[in-house]
Amino acid sequence: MLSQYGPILILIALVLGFAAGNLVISELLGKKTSAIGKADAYECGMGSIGNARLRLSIHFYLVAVLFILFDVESLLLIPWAVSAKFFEAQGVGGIVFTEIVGFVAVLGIGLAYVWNKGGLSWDR
Amino acid sequence: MNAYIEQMGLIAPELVLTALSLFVLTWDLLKKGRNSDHIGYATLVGLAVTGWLLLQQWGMLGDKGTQTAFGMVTIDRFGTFFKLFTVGSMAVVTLFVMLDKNERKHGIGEYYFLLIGASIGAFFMVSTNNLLLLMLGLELLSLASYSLAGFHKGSKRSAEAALKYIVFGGLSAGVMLYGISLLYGLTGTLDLGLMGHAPEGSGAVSLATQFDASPIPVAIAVVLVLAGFAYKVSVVPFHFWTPDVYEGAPTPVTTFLAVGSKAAGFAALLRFVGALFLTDGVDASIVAYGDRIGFLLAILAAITMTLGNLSALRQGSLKRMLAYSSIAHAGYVLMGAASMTSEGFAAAMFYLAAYYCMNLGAFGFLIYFEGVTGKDDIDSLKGMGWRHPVVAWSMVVFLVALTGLPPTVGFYGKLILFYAAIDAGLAWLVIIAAINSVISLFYYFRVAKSMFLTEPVPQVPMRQHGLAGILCVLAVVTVLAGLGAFKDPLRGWADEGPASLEIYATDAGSR
Amino acid sequence: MDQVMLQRAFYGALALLTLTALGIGLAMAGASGVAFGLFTAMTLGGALVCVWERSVVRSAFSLMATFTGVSGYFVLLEADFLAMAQILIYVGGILALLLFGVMLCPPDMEERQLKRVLPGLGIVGAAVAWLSMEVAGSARWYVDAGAPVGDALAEGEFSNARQIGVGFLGIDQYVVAFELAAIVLTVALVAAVYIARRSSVDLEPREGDA
Repeated sequence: MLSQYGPILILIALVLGFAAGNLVISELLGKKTSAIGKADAYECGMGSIGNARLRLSIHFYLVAVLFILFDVESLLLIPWAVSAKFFEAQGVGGIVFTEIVGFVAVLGIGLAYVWNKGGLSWDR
Repeated sequence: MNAYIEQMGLIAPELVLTALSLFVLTWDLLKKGRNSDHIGYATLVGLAVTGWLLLQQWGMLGDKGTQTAFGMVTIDRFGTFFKLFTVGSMAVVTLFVMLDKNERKHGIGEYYFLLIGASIGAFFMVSTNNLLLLMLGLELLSLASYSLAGFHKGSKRSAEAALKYIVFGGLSAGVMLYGISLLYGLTGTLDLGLMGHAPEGSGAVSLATQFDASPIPVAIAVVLVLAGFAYKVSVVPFHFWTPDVYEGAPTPVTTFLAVGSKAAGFAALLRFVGALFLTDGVDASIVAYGDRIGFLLAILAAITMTLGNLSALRQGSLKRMLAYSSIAHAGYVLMGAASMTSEGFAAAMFYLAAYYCMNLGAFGFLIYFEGVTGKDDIDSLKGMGWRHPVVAWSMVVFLVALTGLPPTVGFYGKLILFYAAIDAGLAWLVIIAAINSVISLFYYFRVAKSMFLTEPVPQVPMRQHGLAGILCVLAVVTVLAGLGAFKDPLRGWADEGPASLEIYATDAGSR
Repeated sequence: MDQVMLQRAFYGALALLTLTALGIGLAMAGASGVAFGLFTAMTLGGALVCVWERSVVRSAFSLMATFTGVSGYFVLLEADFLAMAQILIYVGGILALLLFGVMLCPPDMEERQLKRVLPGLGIVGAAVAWLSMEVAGSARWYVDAGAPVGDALAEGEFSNARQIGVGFLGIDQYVVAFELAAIVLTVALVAAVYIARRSSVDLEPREGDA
């Protein structure tokens, strides 16, 4: 029943093991030096100490919203991808294909809008 | 394949609206926002085609009865009635946008696109028995309304309106979804017809059966869903957003919220309540709890109209006054639903139709008045009656109608609402409503007094002939519908609605 | 110092609760019980940390555990498509949106004291808890007698995404809702871009603005 999730469990274990292993290995093999710069989380970029609620450009928000919307779109396409053969066997593959083309076309117009209005470029 | 095309024909009005919205968006992109008037004309043409298709459908439905398209869209005269008025109000709102001197023409493509998107949502919301599609339509309508309320980006009030609207809206959508999920868990279906009456072998349990077994979960689920609807139509205690949103949103958008969005919310509410609780002509098991829901709605109606009218008394801004007045009117319409008879439902539908005319007119006046003075407080109205007589007299007609006095359609609408409520044994509610009508007289006539009985303040004259013409036509319609020219056909249409709901003999047993 | 002690006590209690949940799960239903206990600990623990932590960023990140725990429930219920959707949308998208939302807001220096809102929260919480108990105690949920018990997936199928696809696109099922979803997404797209786009025209104050 749940055994089909075995591969995913193995993947999770591998991911966690890889991250933990790297930390351990670098701890064991790495050369220990201490400098002020090393105490920082990053050696370049924004200062890592300060108010956590720094104010960001609204553009970050726009990118996140666009990501979610297209995320949902791609997610909704998955059921079609895995059921296409079923519909093909039923003889309604063409109709279902037009349905999905309609779905993507509507969002395609949305994408064209976003692109045209500069939602995808950073400098505007 | 043929069945497929036939079903496409049934949702042709929705398809035309969708095509129109995408066309408007694409055209705006290609034109780079220039020639904004052309987009308005294109919208009007598309709406006209939709309206024509709906009229065809109305006739077709008379011959064939209720139709189902693609398993979840229910095409009946109830839905078509509301769709016709949605299209009508959309057309008037489009004209308002085109004629409104205050409205910036920047971003006009998005404006039309979102307005049409909102009406697509309203269309699906009023024409389905399936709670999933109903929720999706409601969300589409709400999403478009949130962004339209905040359309003036430079304006703080507009931003505040959008924020309040989206926060309250998100909360109520969550509450409603929770209620729907409980209903689904209890009955095993999302179809309102099956929920109201599940035949043997349909693979569902009717809500009445579940109510007999365990009343509390059913009551909670129903109240949660009703709360979502109550928010949409701004019934107390879910009305807090209304004045701020109405005030902050661009006035044409406010018009759409007060007329189109509210009517769609009421349509869905009536369908939901009707499918589950309508008490006439059904077996006794439903009557027992249908009456309780009716009593709950009656109390809500009484509180809503009283609070709305009392708050409206104290408003200095015409826009806020109209907002509270719309809350009060939600209370009147709710009376029809509370009576739990098809007669009451028909009365509610008739009153909503009447409300279309008079409220569109009142908001049109507001746009005209804002265009002339740049303000929206009642004191700035001084002398309007002498400077702009046609518009001012039209407004008087709308005020008379909103108060509910003869010879307008508002009077007749209230009359049949009162009859329906008395027949249902809600005489106390009728008395409260009558007292409320008297209260409303005070604040409606403060506007008229300000326009005619005070000395004019010096103003720069500004002419908006088109708007004046529309207002005139609306005023004439309001009076004629009250006098009888359109009254009987409208009454007939409204009576067709509940009859077409066909709640008890649903054939949706396929799922 | 008091703060540190409180913090330690809170996380200690959380760890204890997690162990208890795992233990109860193991005792009652073996391996899947442990999984259920783990997901419950993640869901509730993440939510508790979210409420507890004063730093909004930490609160937001603790929601990751909550979302992942919920997707774990979906896995246990054999709704693998929903589990995937939960991870992809909530952990991947909504969380990032939340963080950006938090960072876009100016910090609120006059945070409302917990003591002032505690009575209200208590009453609302008690009411919700009571109602939930009532619903959970008395509801008779609909059970589909025809549905296969146990292994819901047919032979040779590895996912219920296919069943969902058939439901979404089948002509007499949910196809209208599916297509309407495209319109909802497009409306959201246009609205988001319009509201967030910056152009000089939008920044002029409008007349009639108080």
